Amino acid sequence: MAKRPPITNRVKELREANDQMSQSALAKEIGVTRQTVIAIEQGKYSPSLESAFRIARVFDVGLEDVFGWDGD
Amino acid sequence: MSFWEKGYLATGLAVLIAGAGYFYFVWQQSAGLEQIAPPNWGTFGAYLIVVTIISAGSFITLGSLEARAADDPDTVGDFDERDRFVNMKSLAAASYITSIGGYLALVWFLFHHNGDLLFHSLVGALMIGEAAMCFLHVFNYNRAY
Repeated sequence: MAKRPPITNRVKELREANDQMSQSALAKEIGVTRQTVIAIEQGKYSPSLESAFRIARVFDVGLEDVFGWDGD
Repeated sequence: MSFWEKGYLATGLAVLIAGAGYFYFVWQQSAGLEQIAPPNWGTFGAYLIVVTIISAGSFITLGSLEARAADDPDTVGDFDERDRFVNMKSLAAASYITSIGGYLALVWFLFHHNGDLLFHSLVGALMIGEAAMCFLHVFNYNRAY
């Protein structure tokens, strides 16, 4: 299995803090499939910049409050 | 496993099963003729029909099963940025595999000068390329990017 991308995220944490928002609801808000939200939460997929901004806007936080860098 | 993963897995298996059937018939015919059997519409057409029926059938069946289980049935079969990314990577890798198979078939032709063998080799290269494309989709959906 390939090395995970060095980008971390708090999508699951923010989703749960936001009235237990479902993965399907978040997927619909940002225009991706539920499988993509699952992959993002598991750290298996780094979303495009556009989707990253959309996620941040859904939770009304800054981009760096959702995503972090865990590399060198 | 997502709708697309299941669909590609079913199509890949269909190509392998129908491909094995194609080469079994070619081998049987060749054994009877005691030379490489010439290509014929019966065998090739049967392969195309079997692959099309299994592939289309599995996508239709999976689509209706997933729609029944999904919260929002309209979203089943949606294709987003991750699907496009996986599709692009898988098609690129599969095209190399198909090209290598095609070139090997041509090199084989240079040594044997047998057009029938060339036809079957190219069909084999296309089958391997198609199956590789399907299994690469499943692989790329499960690896991390």
